[in-house]
Amino acid sequence: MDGMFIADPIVALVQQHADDPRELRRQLEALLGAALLVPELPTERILAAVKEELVHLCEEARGRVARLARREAHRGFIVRALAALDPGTCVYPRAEVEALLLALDAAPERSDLGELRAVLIDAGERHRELERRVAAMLRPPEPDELAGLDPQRDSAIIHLAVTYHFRSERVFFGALEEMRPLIAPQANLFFFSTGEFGLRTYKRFIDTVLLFDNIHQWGPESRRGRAAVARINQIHGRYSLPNDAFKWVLLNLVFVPELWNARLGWRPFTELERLGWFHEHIRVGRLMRIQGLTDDIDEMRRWWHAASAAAKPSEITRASFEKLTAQLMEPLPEPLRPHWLTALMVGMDDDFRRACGYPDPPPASLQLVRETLGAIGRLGALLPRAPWIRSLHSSPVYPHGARVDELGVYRRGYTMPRPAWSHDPAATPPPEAHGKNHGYPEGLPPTQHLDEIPELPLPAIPWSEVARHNSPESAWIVVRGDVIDVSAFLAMHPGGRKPLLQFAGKDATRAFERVGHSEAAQILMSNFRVGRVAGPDPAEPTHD
Amino acid sequence: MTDTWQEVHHGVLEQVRGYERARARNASLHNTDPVPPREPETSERLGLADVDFTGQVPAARILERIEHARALQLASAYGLDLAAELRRGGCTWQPHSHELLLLRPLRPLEELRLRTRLLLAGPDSVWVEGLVLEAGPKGHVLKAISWTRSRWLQLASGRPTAHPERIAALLQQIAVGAPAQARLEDRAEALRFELGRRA
Repeated sequence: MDGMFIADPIVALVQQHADDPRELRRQLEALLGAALLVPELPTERILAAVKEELVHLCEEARGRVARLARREAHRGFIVRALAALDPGTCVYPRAEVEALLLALDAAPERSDLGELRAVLIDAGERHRELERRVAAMLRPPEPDELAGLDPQRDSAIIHLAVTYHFRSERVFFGALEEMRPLIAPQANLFFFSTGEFGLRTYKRFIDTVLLFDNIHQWGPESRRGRAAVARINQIHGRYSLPNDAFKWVLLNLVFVPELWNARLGWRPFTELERLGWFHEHIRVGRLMRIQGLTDDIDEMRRWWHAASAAAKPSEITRASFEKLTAQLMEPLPEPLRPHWLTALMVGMDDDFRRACGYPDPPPASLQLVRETLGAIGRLGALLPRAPWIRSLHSSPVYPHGARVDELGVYRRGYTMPRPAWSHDPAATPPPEAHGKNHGYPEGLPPTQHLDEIPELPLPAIPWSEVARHNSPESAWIVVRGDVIDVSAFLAMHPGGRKPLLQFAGKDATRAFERVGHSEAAQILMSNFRVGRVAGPDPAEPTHD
Repeated sequence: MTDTWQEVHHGVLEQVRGYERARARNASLHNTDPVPPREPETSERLGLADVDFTGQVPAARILERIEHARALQLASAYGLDLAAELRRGGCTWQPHSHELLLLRPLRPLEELRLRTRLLLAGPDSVWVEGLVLEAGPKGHVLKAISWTRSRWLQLASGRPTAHPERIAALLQQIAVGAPAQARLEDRAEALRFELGRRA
């Protein structure tokens, strides 16, 4: 490592502005902002987000009350509820709603007003939850203030506190959580096939962080949280993806922080922080419809370690890691890049480093990163508590903060193949073929078994057409009658590109089955179907 | 894979410079996924017929112009034809509350830019902000601002009804969120500052 992260620039600043304390302070604050200890977050942006949530809460409750108007007998109460929940005020009318609930309880016909009561109680609970979260975001709790919380029930508040107290570590190592799944060859293959990971790396990275932050910070019942869950499921639901791959990626988000914290954290996680972090992610995993998640942290950790240990050194993993790292670093100022890279490589755990074939970090680098992060962490703990709402922070992609619907993509990956209808003169493509997913099914949950892969109306493609796609630019293979376009993942195929090119334009069924591809690989392959082959294979000997 | 720590470090930094050069050549690599415009804008010229006998443009006329521009923008930017919706389902947005703040006088035959945006959308309601901006070199000068709240009504019965699913999905995608300011005057002040800064 060429120099210190923070000491060098501070010394330079002090020397430069020794005569002007005001300017020195301004410059120091800017530097701390860069280390994300004091992020720039305009108060107006926080206000707007909170008001948006309140208006949404009132609008939604009002909509539910309005729908009751047809069924509930006592319109007087309903009119009062509608008036109280007027969203134009941008303030949750707690006093009015509580007064109305008291009046409902006192009404002789209260048994008829059960649904109205339930709507108002639900709105009140959601408001209290929002208030609790906003309070924790504006003034993140110290570890001693977390004492007495339940790691499962209060996981959101614990998660907010952890992300605040370890904010610098998360800046440097958050990338590792997203990139570590690359040590599984199939994850690697699919991440790159959609094109998002390769070309728009920075946006892809920030979008994932922000989608999860919107759920963790505002809660899955909030407007932002609900929209983020819907976006995540919409984006993933365009593909058949193995359930265990989802589980693997999610558990990397859970357990990678434990690894860097043990080696490089400015203080160790408390047991409550560790458990709260775990339960918060498991809760989000369930919203993503991932199967096989349990509340037993040891069981999940064992599963994750076993999967991690199976990773073998691979040139593909190394190339993927370096490609992503290089693209993630590109927006950074050039002088910061070597330091950021050193921190990232030092932060890699043994399995990850082994999968990339990297040597162990020099002890001096390890020591320097540990001491620097320790200094930043201790300094951060001394600063007055500041609002920490990363879902609203500015980033190079979203300089004014991001809206949830800007995150992710709205169509199938542009490098993914699409059904080859132009080769089937007898067929009329269904209307969905012109949609954003090109006729492939949408809204799919994680796939557990092969028989869950949906059947598709696919064009019939003659063998003569299949045979023409026999080059790296356009490589089609046939497996069990399905025409598979493998061009997008030639470079990422765990078995190398040679076996794929050997069968390009031909039937590869026997070779495919001989290799014994896993169920996960077959599930992934179904996303690359472009048609069904028509007629017998001319290369097969006939038995006349 | 026998590179030393320094070789790996150097190799990755070299790749960063490669990406930097590639992006300098092809700016489209920065493109994010296209999303519908949230602030569609159209230009209009005020006619002599827009002016009253004192030479002023009445407030009602300005609101009418903004409403008209919004309908055109819904059709051109989002493919949402309100007339067709009315024919198909008998429903449309019925404004139930207008707020208008005139900040600068409007002149007959003046070219204006009308920008609208959806602030919030409920199950059966929308809250739209309209900006009247000066066209030409001082395009950032705000001349009027409006807030219009409407409900999606079944016109035959006069009852509010939930937005159809496809319209609700569009609204969720294009709503920009409630402004931080509760009063139109404060909002105008914030916008004037923002527009001036953007200019």
